[in-house]
Amino acid sequence: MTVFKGYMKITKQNIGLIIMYLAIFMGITVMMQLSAKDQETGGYRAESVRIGFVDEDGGALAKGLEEYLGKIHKIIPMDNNKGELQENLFYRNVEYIVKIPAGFEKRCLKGNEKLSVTKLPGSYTGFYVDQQINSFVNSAKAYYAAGYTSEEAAEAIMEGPEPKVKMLDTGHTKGETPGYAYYYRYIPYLLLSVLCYVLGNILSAFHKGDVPKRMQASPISGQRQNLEALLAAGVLGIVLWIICILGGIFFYGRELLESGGFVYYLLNSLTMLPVSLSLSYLVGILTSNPEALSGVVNTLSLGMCFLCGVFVPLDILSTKVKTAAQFLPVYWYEKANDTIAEFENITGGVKTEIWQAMGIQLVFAAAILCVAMAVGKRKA
Amino acid sequence: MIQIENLVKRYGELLALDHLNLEIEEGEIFGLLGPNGSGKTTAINCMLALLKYDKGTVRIFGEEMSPDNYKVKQQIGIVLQNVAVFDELTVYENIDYFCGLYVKDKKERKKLVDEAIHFAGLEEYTKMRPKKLSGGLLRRLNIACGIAHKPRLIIMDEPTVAVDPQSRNRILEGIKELNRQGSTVIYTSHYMEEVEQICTRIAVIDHGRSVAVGTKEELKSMIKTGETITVESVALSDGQIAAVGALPHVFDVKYKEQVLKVRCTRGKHNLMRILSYLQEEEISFGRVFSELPTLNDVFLEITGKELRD
Amino acid sequence: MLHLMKYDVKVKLHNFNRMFWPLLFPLILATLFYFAFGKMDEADFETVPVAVVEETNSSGEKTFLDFLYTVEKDKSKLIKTEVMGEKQAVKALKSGKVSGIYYAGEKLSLTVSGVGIKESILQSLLESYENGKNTIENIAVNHPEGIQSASEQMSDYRDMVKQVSLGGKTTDQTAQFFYALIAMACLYGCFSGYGTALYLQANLTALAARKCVTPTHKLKLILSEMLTSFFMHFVDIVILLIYLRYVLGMDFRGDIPRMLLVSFIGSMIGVSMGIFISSIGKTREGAKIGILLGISMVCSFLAGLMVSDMKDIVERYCPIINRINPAALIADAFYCINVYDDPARFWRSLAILTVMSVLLTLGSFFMVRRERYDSI
Repeated sequence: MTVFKGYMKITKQNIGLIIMYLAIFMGITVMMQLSAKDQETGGYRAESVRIGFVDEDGGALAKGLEEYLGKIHKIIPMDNNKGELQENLFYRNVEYIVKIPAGFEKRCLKGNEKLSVTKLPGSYTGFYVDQQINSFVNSAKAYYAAGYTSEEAAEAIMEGPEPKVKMLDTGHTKGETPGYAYYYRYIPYLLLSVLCYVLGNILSAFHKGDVPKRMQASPISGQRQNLEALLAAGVLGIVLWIICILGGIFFYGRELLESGGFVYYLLNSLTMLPVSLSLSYLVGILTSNPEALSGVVNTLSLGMCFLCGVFVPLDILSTKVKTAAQFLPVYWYEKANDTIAEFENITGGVKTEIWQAMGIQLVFAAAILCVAMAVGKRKA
Repeated sequence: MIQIENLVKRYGELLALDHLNLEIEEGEIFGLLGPNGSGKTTAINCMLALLKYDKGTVRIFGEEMSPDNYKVKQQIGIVLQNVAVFDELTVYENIDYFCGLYVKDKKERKKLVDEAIHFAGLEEYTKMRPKKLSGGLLRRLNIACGIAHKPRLIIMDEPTVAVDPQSRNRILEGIKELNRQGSTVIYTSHYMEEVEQICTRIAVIDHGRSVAVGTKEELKSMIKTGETITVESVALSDGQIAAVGALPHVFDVKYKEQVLKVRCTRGKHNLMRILSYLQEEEISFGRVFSELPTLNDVFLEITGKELRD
Repeated sequence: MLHLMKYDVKVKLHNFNRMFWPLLFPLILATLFYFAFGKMDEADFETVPVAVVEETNSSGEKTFLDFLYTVEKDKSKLIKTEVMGEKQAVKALKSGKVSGIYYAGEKLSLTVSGVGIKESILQSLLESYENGKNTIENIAVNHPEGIQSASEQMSDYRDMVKQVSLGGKTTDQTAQFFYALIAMACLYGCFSGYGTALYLQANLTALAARKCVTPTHKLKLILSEMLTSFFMHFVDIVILLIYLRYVLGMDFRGDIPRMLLVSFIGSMIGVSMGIFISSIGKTREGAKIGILLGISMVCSFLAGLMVSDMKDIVERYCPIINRINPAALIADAFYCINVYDDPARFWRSLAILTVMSVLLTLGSFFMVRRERYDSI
């Protein structure tokens, strides 16, 4: 076990670095999941959006729209002053601005003039407001065509029915994605980044100068050396994984422990571990200096996480991207994670689906490991 | 030409230079001899105004040395212990770059660079990058970069570490040649053979102090040892060893693994006296030889330890 | 000086890792971003499977079913319906085979088990049906004569919302990611700054020590190194901008000189931050790179590199961070140029960036100017 001990000693030497990387990426992970929770838990029925409302028309239709949107959102009447609007948008006092120009009512009802709105780039809540405006304006046009005045139309729309939507209680979630699901969603980024950087740094100590030759000349077989190196990496990975799990428990406590999906979250992240390990092993073998390492790792971890639904939910990604992402292991992690989050009580078909996704991750891990071994042999 | 007075440098608790005093004359090849960690490199770095020091003065060409004394720097060439060249540039480009830091005129520089390449015997490698060079060639490049501008003073800090004997001889001959052309050389090493071979004057450094200075002859005459007599394959009893030790001129006897080493002060018949003692006692022995003192003996006697560990 | 710069450029060009990762990495990421969100605006949602439970045989239910079938047959393939019994439907919902259940009875209702885009689609379908039904019913009562023109109007359902920036330019929802990416690329200059420090600090490399004892004025050495680093990193950023605008066809329609100005100051900040940090103390290479990496990643993260509205969240809870985070400032400046069309905000961001880069440049300058070292 000399090789193993050697790795452990070098790991010990690098403990400061490890803690630093862990702190950085843990911090990023925690902030991401907090922000995601903040932004998406109310996602189903869009939470109240602060809407800046500029009414230069003053007609009944405009008033009606203001009232209609006001049923759900917070309306902040504003003047059409570009500077002021920008200021408010910039500081997020409003997230959505509707501008109704003078004479809009006529041009809209008779012609087909569209309503100009401004929303924060990259915000999904704006989408729901769009839909509500669409629905209002289209109905108004229908009423108007039927001979209603604009006042009557606005009134009629206001009295329209509220659709009945029920949440089926399928377990703990009560229709809301639990916070810890977000935490677990970001774990691949954490595992990949930290493991790649740390292992990369440790492995580079073994690849410096003539050390590989010396290692090769030693009476310990290459296979055994690889095995012990992997063992060391495994120990490191497990420790990191445990820290991640404890982090989740720290933030969500009993809520997480008592959820039906807890065991599956654990298993799923545990299958992600060999994937991350084998990838970082490969990266560590391929790169020789810390500058190249940071470039490769960043490209790999960020790229994979973007394509596979870590940062951007899988739901939002286009089908083509998702098809391509199936050839990446993180996709399967996220797929399993989404499924676990969706069905807290896991039975039957869902169960098989999750097991399948985990199995695919393991296959990926094995494949990457083989590549790493082959590359390692070539290099030596 | 160079005066170093009472130089003190501390690294925390460790006293790296302890009131070091040196005086180097124009035209010398001045050796700084001492074991690893004795403060040679620190002394050099202080001389070059790279390091802060706690006390003392360094004067070069009669001027106080400071980081912005560019007039003095203009006339110094350095070859440091670690190879300091750009991996990204070719051999020629490296020499041209460093020479360009001293010599602005392009034509003159080209001539100097070519001469340096010739001097280091790198003609065949000008287009190569340092990574492809062998250890010895790399050292030669390192030296060429330091001396291309024909400096008045060359400071070399262990330029021959990890160099094959052939390259080493070439380097040493080169240093002598530079000296003949008018450069003063300061040379640090822990190889006493090298120092003995080329240096005109030597300072022995230990624990950051200069413990002895002089030509090698002066150094050797400074010490008690006149010659060291070695007798191999000899079986002696403790009493016989004591008897050898009691002979005139003998002041130190070591006996180990059937080898007798006797150090004597200067005297005419030291060898004869020992041989006749062995004959009287009817002790058989193998090879016998006598050596004049080396710098190692000098070091041993002054500091009480071997130069090499 | 030219001699120095010529070789400084040469050295940098030959150092693959230091030169090309800061260039290559943003290019690769930009490409991945492009594919990941390129089509997000017109996201092609997957067909949503939904169960339909028929409760009674009312006529209302029939119209609703017809409505659903029309939607289903539409080429957008929005939903796929399946008629089931109630128990079966609930089971299907629980196992995830369907995303929701429409109860088609006297009163229409939708049951879902989660939140997400699929559920929202089902809800909006129901809403638009109910709205339409309500509209027609109302009209039939109050203005029966207009029912014909009203239903014609209704079948002409249009998107009545037009997305504009306040300056009148259209906005791209995903631009934020790319601005943050540019900011990250700028900060990535810290790695070339790290290299610069290695070539200047006598206590870091023997090479620098050798340079330090030459009669070439230290100022010149520093100036040459810094200028070449700034310039070469700037070239990297310009390549990235060109790539984004012309190859990926991003919506970077703003004033080009201004974008270049921001990029230049951004690269100065990145490089000088690298020099500054690398010059502090004698920590190991790995640790220094780790610190640089940590700073640039955290700054980019806070500027919205991974989660697009991170910057907004920061703005809401702790705006001061957005004023001092160089990545956020760079992203903001790009924002102002391309989206908001807001000169005042732009100049403010630029002013802060300039002050920062001047401070960092001076700071790093004084760090490397230190002439004697405590230890080598």
